[in-house]
Amino acid sequence: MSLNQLIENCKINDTKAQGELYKLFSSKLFSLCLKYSRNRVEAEDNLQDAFLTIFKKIEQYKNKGSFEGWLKRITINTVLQRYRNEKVFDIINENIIEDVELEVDEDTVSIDYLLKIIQELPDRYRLVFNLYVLDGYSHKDIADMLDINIGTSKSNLARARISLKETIENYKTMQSLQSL
Amino acid sequence: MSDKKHIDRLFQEGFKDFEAAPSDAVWENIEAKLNQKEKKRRVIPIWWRYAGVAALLLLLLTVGGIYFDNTDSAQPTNKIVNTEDTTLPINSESEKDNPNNLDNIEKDNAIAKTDSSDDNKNEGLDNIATQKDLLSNQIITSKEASVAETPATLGNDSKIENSLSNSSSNKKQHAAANKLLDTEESSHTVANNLKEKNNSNGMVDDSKKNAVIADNPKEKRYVNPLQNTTAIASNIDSENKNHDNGIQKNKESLIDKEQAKKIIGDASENNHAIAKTEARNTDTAISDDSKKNSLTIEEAIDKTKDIIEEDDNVNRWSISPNAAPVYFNTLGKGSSIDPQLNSNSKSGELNMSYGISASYAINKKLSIRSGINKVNLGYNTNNIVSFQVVGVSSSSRSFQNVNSVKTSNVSNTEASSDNVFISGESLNANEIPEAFSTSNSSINQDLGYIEVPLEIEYALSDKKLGVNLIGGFSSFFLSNNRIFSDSQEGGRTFLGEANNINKISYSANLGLGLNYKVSKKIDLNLEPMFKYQINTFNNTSGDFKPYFIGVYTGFAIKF
Repeated sequence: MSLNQLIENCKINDTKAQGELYKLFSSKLFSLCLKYSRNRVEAEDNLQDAFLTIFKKIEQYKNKGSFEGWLKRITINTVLQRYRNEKVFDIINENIIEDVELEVDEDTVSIDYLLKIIQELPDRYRLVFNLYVLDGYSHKDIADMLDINIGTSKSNLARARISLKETIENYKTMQSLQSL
Repeated sequence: MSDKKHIDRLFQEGFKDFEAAPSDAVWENIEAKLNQKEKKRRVIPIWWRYAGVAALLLLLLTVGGIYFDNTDSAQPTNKIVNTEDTTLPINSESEKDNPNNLDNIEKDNAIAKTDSSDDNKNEGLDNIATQKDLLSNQIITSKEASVAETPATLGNDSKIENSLSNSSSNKKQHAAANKLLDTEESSHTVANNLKEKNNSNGMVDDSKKNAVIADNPKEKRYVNPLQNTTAIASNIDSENKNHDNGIQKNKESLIDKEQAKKIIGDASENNHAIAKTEARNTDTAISDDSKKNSLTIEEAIDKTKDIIEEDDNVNRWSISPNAAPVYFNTLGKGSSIDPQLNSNSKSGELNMSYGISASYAINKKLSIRSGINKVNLGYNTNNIVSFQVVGVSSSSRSFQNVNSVKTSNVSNTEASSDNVFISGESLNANEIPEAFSTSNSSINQDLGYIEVPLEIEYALSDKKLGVNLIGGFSSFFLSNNRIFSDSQEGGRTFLGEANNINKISYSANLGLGLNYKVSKKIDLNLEPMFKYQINTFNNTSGDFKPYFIGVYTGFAIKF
């Protein structure tokens, strides 16, 4: 069955088609959810909500643009809806921290570790970092999506990067200390 | 050794092909929620659809009822209200009357002393006086006689006569009253309650007398309106008994003004109470009914749920576009255009009807359907002679039921010329002066309707080739109404609009449906239908009974 046929069947609430669609895209969308969520449990919650929204709104999908892109957008929006409203204490000044070296040693850092440290970021940092670095949104888009201003988005990104870098460096130091 | 690398790149590369499978529980949850939603989504619409169909039926029936039902039925409820309404003022009036009444009674020979005015009150008083008089005579039968005498002394008022004859023919009236109105029963109960109430006051004797008082003026009040005669009858009836019992005491007791007032007040309250309790009774009855209704609705919803769960994969709905050649004709011999054309030969015309219908299968055998169709109907009245008259008013020659349009010829500089049509049946060829240009033609009546059918289909067989019996009715909304004359030479002239066609009409439909199941989703339909039109014309001459036959073909898409 072609993807288009599958989509058409999903539009008329065909349960089988919905199952097929889930099988096809659940891993991709779940990885997305993992990056944007605080932990696996919340990621699964988000994935569930995202799929429910997808099945509800699939009628509105008019074959414009890639279907996968559409699915991802819905998923990201679902996640954003959940974390957007959670307050982040922006007590830190929002000046963009320039001239910080953001190079790290290219060692084999496992994907699980990367995921873990992303998830441990404060919500706002995590969302901005994901949107900007991993999903290619502009600061303007991010500002709109999160209902913040562009400056805040940039500042959040910078702080996320520094935080991640420090975490990785600490981790490496710990590792090297342990291996000694 | 390890190179330095920007942290963004590290993550971008790390997550490039990152995929992770969620646990199975996620899909199970999604599935469960989808099912829930689906059930919710589907149960409510079905209930809505039932309600919609019911509402549509109700609407059509009501409209039909208004159009067809000219007889005055279902009035009893109004009448009950009326009696209640009338008894209340009567009571208040009787209170008012009472003092006068008593005054009169205090005077021995009331008849002589009371005015012979035409006023109702006085009638009442006079009558009371006479009654009092006859009560003192202690002969009830003689009461009638004396009452009969009073009009002579009182004068010529027909109303008085009426009232007197009413009271003199108590029993007859009572019998007649039985036939007359339903309200009688209610006034009976009023009377009964009066008695009961009075008894419960513990003043048996007094109350009886007072009941007389209460009844007397009331009786007089009642006399004039014909409807109220029944109430009088019953009141008088009860009164008579009271007379029997309390005749001797009447004189003294009647003077007891205060008590009388009080009792009458009680009585009126009683009436109020009766009215209220009745209302309440009906209220409770209604609420009971509505409870039942709501219960059944819930049950119905439950049932629909069950049904949905049972056979979720049955295609209950179908939509079918259809088209049909329709043949319009009349059963009788008359004409809808003009009486003079009654005996002319008529031929139906083959036209088209097309539309779309939606049907819902209530169960395997029965389905209900509605839709919308455009129908064109037409028929010809043949053997018409038309000739042109110049400059003469043709009003005398135009058809009775046609609002003619002046067919003035633009290029013609002469005075306006009109075509005159007469039936060829009653015409001798040599009657027409040759100077007129004559031609043999026919009149073509052209009607267009928007049809909204509501039909029930019963499946006689549901094999590959299904056979259905179809019955129902349609509402027609007039959309096109024209009359043409078709001359033999081929000319076609627009004559005007028929003015006797109802904007909304109906038809009773009967037909046979054949459907061939091409696939699970698609049926081919062939439905010969007979539609007998009702209320199409409001003024036809002769026996004009239009109908049309259509062979509806189409396909149904089931979902």
